[in-house]
Amino acid sequence: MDALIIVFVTGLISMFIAMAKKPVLVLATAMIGLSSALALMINQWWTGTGFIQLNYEGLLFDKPSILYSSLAISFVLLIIAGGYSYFKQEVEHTGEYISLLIFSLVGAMCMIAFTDLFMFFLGLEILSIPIYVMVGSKKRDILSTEASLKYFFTGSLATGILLFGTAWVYGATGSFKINEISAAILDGSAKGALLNVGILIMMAAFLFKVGAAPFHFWSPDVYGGAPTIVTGFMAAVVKLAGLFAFLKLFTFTFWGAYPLWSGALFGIIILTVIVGNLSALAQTRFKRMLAFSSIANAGYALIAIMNQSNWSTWNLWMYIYGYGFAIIALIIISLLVNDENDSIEGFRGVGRKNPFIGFVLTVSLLSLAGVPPLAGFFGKYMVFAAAFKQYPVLVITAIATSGIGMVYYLRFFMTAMAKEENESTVEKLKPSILQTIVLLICAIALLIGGYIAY
Amino acid sequence: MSLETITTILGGLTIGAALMVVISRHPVRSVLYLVLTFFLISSNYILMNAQFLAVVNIIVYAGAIMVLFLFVLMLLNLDKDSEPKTHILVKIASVVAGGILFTVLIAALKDGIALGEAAAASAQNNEGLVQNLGQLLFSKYVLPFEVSSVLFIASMVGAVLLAKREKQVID
Amino acid sequence: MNSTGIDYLPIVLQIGVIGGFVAFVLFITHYLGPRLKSKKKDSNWECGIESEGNARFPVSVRYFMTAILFVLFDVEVIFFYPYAVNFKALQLEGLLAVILFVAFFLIGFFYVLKKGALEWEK
Repeated sequence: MDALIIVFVTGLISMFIAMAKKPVLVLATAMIGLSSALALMINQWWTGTGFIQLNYEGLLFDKPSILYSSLAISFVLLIIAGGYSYFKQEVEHTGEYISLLIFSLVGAMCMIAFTDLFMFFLGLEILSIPIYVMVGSKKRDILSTEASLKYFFTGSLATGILLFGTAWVYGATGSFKINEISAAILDGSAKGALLNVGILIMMAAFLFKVGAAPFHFWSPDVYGGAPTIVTGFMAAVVKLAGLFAFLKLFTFTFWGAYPLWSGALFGIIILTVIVGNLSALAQTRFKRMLAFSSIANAGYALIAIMNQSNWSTWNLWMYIYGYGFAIIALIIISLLVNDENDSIEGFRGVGRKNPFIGFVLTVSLLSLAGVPPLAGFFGKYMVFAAAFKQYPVLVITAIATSGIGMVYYLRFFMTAMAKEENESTVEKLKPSILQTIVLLICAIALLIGGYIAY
Repeated sequence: MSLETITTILGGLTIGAALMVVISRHPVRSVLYLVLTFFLISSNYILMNAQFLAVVNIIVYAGAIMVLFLFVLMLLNLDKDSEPKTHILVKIASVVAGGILFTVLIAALKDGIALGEAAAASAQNNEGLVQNLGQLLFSKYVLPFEVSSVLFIASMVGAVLLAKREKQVID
Repeated sequence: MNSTGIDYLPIVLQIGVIGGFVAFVLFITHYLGPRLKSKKKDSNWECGIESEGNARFPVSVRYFMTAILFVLFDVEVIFFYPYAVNFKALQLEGLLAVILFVAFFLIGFFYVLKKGALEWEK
């Protein structure tokens, strides 16, 4: 709880400190605030209690929530540090960019630690609304505006549908608290069409938010139009919060209705991994490729939601860990390359120009592709292994499609590592110290991910 | 007139007004029908003993948000008929999909009728009154209440970021 | 506490008074004030310049900014209703909750003012 308050206050302060027109101050505030929040989270993990104990209903930072919240805070820290060069371009708005991202993190943390559906819904809204704005924050870029509008319309429709579903579930179970809902479903007092319809409607809205296949059409346009750093935020933090809330709500709360939703989810996962990977193959733009790859990755992550065990929380965490750090590294490299058309060809020769960036790029791409010693492999392995007994078909499809995934990751890798034909056209890449640190952290996180897994 | 008759009439009027929102060709007329719909929904809320919702619905939705809607309409160019033509297949598909969803919802609601009667009989439905709701809001649910201010601040920042004009630099 | 139809009687009365007043004023204006009628006054007469362009032009986004901030503060006001009714019963705890809430809003308001979003720039 104390970490949440710190994060919120950090957002407030960075909103006001920006009026001094010194972007460095905003960055420093955000860094200090988020780091202390992270420290508080770690403290709470070890001691079991936070410094502030508030006994109000709605939020509970138990161990899984702490785990996911810490990961979310770390992602936001890296994104803000890595994107600082972008944020400071418009001094007028630096504070707004950073504080909106931090407010969004507040929403993500509410969405992670919720114990009743009120808090969950508030968290979802606090997460989404700053992102709608941030997607459109490049006001002079018409694509960014288009993306923002698209995301807003479709996203608010999904939110409305989610609320509608929540109302049905409430009608069937008579409670908003997730443990009461879970109990009501398990003891059979809430069986019936009301509950089933409610759960299915909620699932549709959730699948929209995480971008699974039949509900994914917004994703490429929004990812492509958004400012690069916001794309990274959406891929890492929004996915993290959405998937964990999905896990908490479905795998744990709606477990009693498992036969109902698992069948639908089964089909959707298969569709998602196929559509995501096949569409990513055809992309020539980096951010669109990333969008489709994130769709495919959401599909893999959903497999963790399909089977309930004490480990599925941990498996999903490991999966998002590998995915998030790799995406952040890629996004920052793409920020450095700064190709106008955002084409994959723009990355040609990046690895040769700056060996360090080449190294980080290699690590993150291989991790995304799922090559053994890296974190991405362990995430995939744990998720697949846990589900294999129950759903062999699902896992085999997932493995086959991740083979397709390897093709475009490696193609991208080859482009980035290729020899440049005309040396003079592109200047040397110069990451700032901050970006170097961020890239280094991402690479280290991906390299040691396997050890964390054990 | 019994309560049931009033409910039926109000419900019919609400659905009719809501339909007119969709059917009306002129956007401003749609918005005005939407205002009417909100008032009718509010009266439904009052019948369900949910005073607070009724008040919120009128003040925020019928008042403030409809003003915003009208502003948005005036922001747009309404000169030309710019409604995009949709393919006939798309229309058929959406009718089928909507119809199926509607059927499922209606079928599921049949369960709900029995459940609703049981709930109405067992519990005194008084949470919707302003007083009772306030007691809950400021004691049990005070945390969501405070957290909602984060949402408001974030949307204020967002509104300022998006809608404020950039200072034009004149060289 | 339960609500019955009789609780809404004041509201119904008020609506009746408002409606009655409007109708009354509309009715009475026809009889108040002098009426002058002459051939010249009743004849058609047009003057002025020809109108140009369409009357439906896009409104400036500045109105929108004000309107959207109005909605936010309107929502804030809504939360005072349940508090006002329970003012005594909630005691200090409720007061603190409301003060905190209003403080957040004031911070937001201060921010909006500082940014000059409510200034009517030219």
